[in-house]
Amino acid sequence: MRDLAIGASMDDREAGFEAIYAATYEPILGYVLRRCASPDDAADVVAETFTIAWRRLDEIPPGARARLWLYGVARRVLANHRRDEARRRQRTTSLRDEIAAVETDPVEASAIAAAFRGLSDDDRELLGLVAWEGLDHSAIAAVLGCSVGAARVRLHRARKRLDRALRSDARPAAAQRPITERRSLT
Amino acid sequence: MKPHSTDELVRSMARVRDESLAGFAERPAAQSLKEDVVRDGTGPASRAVKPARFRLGVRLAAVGVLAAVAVAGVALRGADDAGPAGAPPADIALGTPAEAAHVLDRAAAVAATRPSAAAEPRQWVYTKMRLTSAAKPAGLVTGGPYKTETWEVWRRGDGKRYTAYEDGKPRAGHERVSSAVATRFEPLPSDPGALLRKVRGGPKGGGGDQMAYETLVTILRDSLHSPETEAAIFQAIKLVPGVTPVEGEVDIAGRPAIALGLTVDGWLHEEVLLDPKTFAYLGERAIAVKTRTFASEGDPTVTVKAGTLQRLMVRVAIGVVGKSGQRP
Repeated sequence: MRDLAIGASMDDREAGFEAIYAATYEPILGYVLRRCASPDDAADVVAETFTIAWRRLDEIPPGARARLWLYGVARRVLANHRRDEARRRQRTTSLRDEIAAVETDPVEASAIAAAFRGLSDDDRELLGLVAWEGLDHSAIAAVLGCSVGAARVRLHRARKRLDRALRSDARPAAAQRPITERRSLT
Repeated sequence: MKPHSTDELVRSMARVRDESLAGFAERPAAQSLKEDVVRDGTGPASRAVKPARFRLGVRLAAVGVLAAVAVAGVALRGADDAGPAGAPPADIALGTPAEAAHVLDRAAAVAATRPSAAAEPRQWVYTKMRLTSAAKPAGLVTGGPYKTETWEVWRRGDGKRYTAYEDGKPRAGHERVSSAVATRFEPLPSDPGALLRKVRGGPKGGGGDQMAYETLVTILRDSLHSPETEAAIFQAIKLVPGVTPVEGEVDIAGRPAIALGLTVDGWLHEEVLLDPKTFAYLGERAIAVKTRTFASEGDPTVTVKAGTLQRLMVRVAIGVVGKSGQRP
């Protein structure tokens, strides 16, 4: 028979988790809010991200790399979120309210925003990781789980595509235009 | 890395800056999420275990389960059920908090007269639980299917060690964590107000009424207490605002029970089940007391009818043994 001693080690784990939580909650919340307009969905994604972090605590790298690891988790959770059924719909409403209180800028209706939205998810993620999360090549590689070289190449291409989209005076197709812009045309 | 001309443009589209989130980690809901996560059934040592997705179920669903749902004798009807067409689920009528207080006063009075059953520090408390819950990991039950698991847990008298078996196999799982939750509050004050404060504030703080209530029920569940402590637990539950009884007796696995609970999010009654005569803990149940539809953009809506059982946990056995692995 196996005894499953937990005593002090459970406390250590909790302490370790709490330290990571304190250091990464805000960056993760920011990461999620920049990619997910609804505070309800953001609350679900943040909650799921930290639930996974707790379950996989032993895998989280030490120090500043914990944040990058968590970005990677949040990224996958976001990607899966739309596919999920109503499973975390019942998450505490208080977290949603708390997150809804974050002051956010309105979604931009500019040509820049339209060009950005016209990019692929992958391109937007690369550009966002640089401009929003302030990451460099090696940090991006850690988040995306690719080599530093691949991160460099992919970022370079994403930047070029955004550049091209901006310069080509790309008028977005009507269907892609933000609602505010469409309204102003009627 | 060299900045690029587009970086600033992209930056201008960030709807939120991390700087404007300073202090959010300290806010109450962020803190209670942390508590929730740590109390989540699935601890770091057992990541292969599928997490319970249904938040309200996460911690209490920890333990084991009830066999054939029909045996449970609880009305389990809902959208997917093959029951008589149009038959509404059983209505759940709730009494008032004053009635719950009356029941809990009696429970405390009866508990105080019990012979002491607490385990010595080196003895083990054995509990066997049967848990009936949603078969799907998604967790919400609209009428089935359900699954049943049986858990056996040995908790050492000093609360420092556990062994858990699920369906007869050793399992590093949920119950260890929820038992650890209970241990965290030991020694349990025998004053109900002090006990509630300890559970509510805890060493980590932040738990609301629901958390406090669930913690008290967890403490009741998986260990044997001195008569004074058990009485204090009932009195502390009485102090949690909003606890209401189900009117009349409920039938749990063929035996009558008193059900007291807290209504969560306006629709789910999270109950502790007590023996109507001895007021001994029998188990826990979560049942929809209002029909509730969960809707979200892009997802199919889910309707849970009033009277639909979400989770039933029955304590099949509890006793003191000399070693982990022994059964009473």
